[in-house]
Amino acid sequence: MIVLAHGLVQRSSLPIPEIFFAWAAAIVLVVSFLALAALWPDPRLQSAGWRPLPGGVGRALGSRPVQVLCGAVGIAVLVLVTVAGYTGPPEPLDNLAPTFILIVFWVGMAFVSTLFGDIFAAFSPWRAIGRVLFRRARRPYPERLGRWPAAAGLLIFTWIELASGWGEEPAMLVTAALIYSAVTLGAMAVYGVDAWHRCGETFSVYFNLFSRLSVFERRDGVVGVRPLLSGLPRLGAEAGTVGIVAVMIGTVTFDGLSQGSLWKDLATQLNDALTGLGVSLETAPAIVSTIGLLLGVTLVAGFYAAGIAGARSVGGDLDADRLRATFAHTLVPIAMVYVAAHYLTFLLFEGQSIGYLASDPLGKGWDLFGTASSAIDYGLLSQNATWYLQVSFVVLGHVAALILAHDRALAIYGHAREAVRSQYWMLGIMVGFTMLALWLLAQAGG
Amino acid sequence: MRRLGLIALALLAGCGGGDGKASDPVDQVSDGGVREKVRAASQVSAADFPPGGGRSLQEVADAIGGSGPELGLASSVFPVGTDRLAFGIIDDRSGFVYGKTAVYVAPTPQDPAEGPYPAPADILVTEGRYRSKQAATEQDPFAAVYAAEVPFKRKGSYSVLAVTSAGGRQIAAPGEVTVVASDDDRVPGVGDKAPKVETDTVASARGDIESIDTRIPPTQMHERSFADVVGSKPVALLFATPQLCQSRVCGPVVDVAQQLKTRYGDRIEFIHQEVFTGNDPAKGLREPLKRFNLPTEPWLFVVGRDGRITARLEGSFGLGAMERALKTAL
Repeated sequence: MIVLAHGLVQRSSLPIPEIFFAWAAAIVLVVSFLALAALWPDPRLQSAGWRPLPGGVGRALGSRPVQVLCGAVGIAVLVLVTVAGYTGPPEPLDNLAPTFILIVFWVGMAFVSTLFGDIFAAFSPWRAIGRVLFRRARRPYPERLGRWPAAAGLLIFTWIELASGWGEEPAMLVTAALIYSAVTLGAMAVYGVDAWHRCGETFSVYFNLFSRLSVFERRDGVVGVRPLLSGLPRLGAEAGTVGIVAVMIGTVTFDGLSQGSLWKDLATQLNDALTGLGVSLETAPAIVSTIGLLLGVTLVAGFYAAGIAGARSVGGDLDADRLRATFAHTLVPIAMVYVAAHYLTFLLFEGQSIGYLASDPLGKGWDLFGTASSAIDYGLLSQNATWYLQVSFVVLGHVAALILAHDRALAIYGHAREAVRSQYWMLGIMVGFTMLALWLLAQAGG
Repeated sequence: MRRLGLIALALLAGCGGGDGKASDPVDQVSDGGVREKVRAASQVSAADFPPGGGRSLQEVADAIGGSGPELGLASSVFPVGTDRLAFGIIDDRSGFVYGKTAVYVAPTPQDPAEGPYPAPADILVTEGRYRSKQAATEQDPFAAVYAAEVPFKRKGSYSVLAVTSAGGRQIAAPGEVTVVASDDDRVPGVGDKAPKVETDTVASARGDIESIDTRIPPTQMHERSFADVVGSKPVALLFATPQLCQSRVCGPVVDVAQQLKTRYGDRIEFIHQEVFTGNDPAKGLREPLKRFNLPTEPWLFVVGRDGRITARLEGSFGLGAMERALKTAL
């Protein structure tokens, strides 16, 4: 069993106690809420514009040859990582596969998508292969499935990473990747490449959600820009959207919680209880982590459901299901800042190992890029600077969520007053998520 | 362009490449003048130093003349017999003095000097990828530690004189060690059966690896308990605490083990055991250390397939010493 700690956040001394940061963040949210109520009387993001990048740049970046090239790169990387996982060094830290999959791809691509748009759509190896192999769908994609397959895939991926106990073993990880590839290509063969890519393929859906925070968007083969945050209101209200966002936030919540003493103490008791029942020492932690993972997702989904129930009490003829789907996109910035805040150091520090691993991807003693002997620079970001960045991410993300919710409320409620009243509950959700995020960070770094 | 060509050739070569790991660990030392000094310090023979020639230890020291640096001992348990004497030579600015080094010993400074015993520099700096956060953020890390094989013929105090060639001259640093009777050495030695102790594993720690490994990031040497492996496979059992070690030279030993695990991990089980209960020195030693009667840390025990100890290292050690120790079990 191999378990590595995520991130390296250990602060020295902060000028004020961590709880004060939480209170300050809550105050920022309340002030933002009041400012929105007073200064944002009409919806602005629901049908915002888009314009292509000038000088033919947008057309060139979004062109078919560039898409094909990116797809080929994606396929090559998938092959390389798979070969590395099977033939490279068995040690996770020496093998390209775990670092690439769990840090560069999983965390790095989330940041890249947020900044630069839906880059993964171009690089997705499954989409690229599918486009070559499958010309048309055999049957229409079932509407009731919505984004549930992606949500399920995400839960399985995070389970492998956080609970399985073998999530960093190179051969096991790439075997899981190959199984996932087979399932994905099979689904694409049945439901069509675009439909499965849009709703069923976990990583496409996951990174696409983050990409909606970006100002960049590709439309009809042209890359252009749109107003900040305007990509999320256009998110379709397919079934399972709340589910995948709840998994996104809930799994990070558990990862943060699992590094703190509260969970560790509880986990010890649960482990003891399980081993007392005859469960092996190796299996018990996986079961306990699975319980924690599911609890994290349930907690987030329940929190959101409570907020929606409150919003429903405001009035109007909107039922809970519609409200839940209508406001689901507002959770995406929260999911992003949970990832950004929690995995920032993971990406900045452990992520540097890609420098030496890429230079010798199969562990043959190569030095392809002259970086094989590089080391991790732990001085890249101080511990306190990390904390300030994390707090900034959390506050900005939740303010963004408030803006999105406020804008959507203005669009769906007939009266601005009713819209603002409905957002009291959304404010409660945002403050709750903010406090939870900062508490989790404090747990992990304390 | 040339680099791209190299990349293409290498990828085309596929699995046919050999093990191109750095063959000379000195190359892992950062440049800036130190690397060449360390390289010179790692290649030393008795002929580089004047023979004792019947002179007393004091006379040898007086003849060398240079003084000022301090001897920092990096090992402390010396039973009668040939022992590994590990040390550093520290200048007046707490910097490590690198150069060809040897030691002379005598029961007292007035007794005839025995030696010189060459003390080649053993590299503490691992490849970048195996460097822990503790080692990587050390402001002034030591690149090496000196170690000499010294025959101590009787128990009691010994005066030690370490002599280093630095700046075109030789300088001497005196010190003292206490040699104990072999019977008084309660730590299991070479040839002894290793106590079959249960070491901490990820499973026994219920997945909380930080509770059993203070290195950042944690090592991957906690998969199996020593008791479950010993007798079926060679084992390298390392007692060390990267975060809580008391000197600047003991921390890197876990990094050293981590690097060598990549080369020997398929033939030897590497096990790291933290030192203090709850990683708190105030709570005393963990049970496996008590069973091994360890008075200090770090310690490395290499145990053969038959369960007998084939090598043990105490105190600071580098890549060379650990690799030699590992080979004793193969």
